[in-house]
Amino acid sequence: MLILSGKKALHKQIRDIRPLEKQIDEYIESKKGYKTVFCYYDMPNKLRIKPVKKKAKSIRSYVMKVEKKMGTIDFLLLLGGDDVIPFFRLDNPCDDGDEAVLSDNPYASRDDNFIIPERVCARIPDNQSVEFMKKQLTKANPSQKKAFGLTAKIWKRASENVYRPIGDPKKLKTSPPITSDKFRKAWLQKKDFLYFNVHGSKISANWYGQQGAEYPVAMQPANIKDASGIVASEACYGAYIIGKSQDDAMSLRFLDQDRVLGFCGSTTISYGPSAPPSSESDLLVKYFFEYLQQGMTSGESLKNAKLDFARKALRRHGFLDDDDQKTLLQFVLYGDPTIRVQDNVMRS
Amino acid sequence: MKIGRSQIDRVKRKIAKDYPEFKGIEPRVTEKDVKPQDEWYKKLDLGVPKHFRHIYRLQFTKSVKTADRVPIERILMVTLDEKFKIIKVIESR
Repeated sequence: MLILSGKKALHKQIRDIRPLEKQIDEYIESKKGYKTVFCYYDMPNKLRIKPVKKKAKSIRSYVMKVEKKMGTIDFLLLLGGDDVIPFFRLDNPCDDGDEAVLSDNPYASRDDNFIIPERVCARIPDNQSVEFMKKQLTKANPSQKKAFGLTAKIWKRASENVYRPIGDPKKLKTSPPITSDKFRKAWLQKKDFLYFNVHGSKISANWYGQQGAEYPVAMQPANIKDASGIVASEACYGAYIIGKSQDDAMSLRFLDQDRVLGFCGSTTISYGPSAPPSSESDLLVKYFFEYLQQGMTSGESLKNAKLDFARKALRRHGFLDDDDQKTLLQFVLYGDPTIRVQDNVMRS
Repeated sequence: MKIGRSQIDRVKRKIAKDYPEFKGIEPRVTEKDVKPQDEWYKKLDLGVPKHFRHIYRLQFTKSVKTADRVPIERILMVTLDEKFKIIKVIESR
């Protein structure tokens, strides 16, 4: 595993980086099963690779050079948000409101075909807080064998199909009638999986339900307290974090919880069907949950979900269309990629 | 083959029935040749890629406001195959 950050940019974001460096040492020590290297792309290092500037392409080249020196990198963990390790701004395959697709896929690819990842890649956003970052490296959540799901009412049937691998579809909550006023914090507590199929916005922290022309506020950051498990959200901009904090980004709010192990979501406008069969975001998240349920790490689960998604789309139609491609590019994973929801599954 | 008005109207009627919020909206129509995507087939060990495809895309777009007055752009995309058969309908989240 390669853990990568930019020292100057990280220092600018969180000021005192020493406690984080200490935490990284402890993290590496605890990951006995991984051969792990931590380095700053902008500083001289033991590998004798020339430092590079804070540009996505340069940092990706740096990763390739590290791989040449230390051998295959199966797991890549990026430490910092867009100001430390920039997201790639890729051409948007869809003709929608997004100028570009913010993506970490190129960091996960060894060739120029960024759609299909070859290695696990996850990111720990800085949230301008050293404590926030440290927390992500020490998380654990005893298995609860429970899940929670919330969907916009119009997508209930589609969401039931996604939720089935992790919970009883009959227990999936819908908005309406659920609104942020009626939302119980306990729903998010003592869970392994948290699933959301709701509307999201780049300019609002809230997530929204839908029935007909009604778009109630289904959830807001204040609804999240002592939540636990791995979160997957299909909301548009669910993983958009640029210029945001835990007060105005649900993803960062979730990650700020001690027992939320990771967040998988979309950086841009995402798509899905209103009814089965699952496609686009629905299909990707469904596969993600299936792999987590099998005991795979969160990072492997997202990577495998993307591979299976691409295979399914190619078998279904013979090609990956614009929105398939966008789905594959836009979903990112935040948090420690080596974490598993249910360690006992692997042991058994 | 170029998509005709009657085909577009057929899709519009279907969308108006199944997705009433997009009723009355004129879709933006595009068409595209999809070349065999050899590199993805190869990367996924999927055998031989299929032949050339020609697809049509009808995109319905609408601006709405949420209960707390946040504007959201709602997008519904319909994909048709060479025979104008609907192969996929998806909505923005």
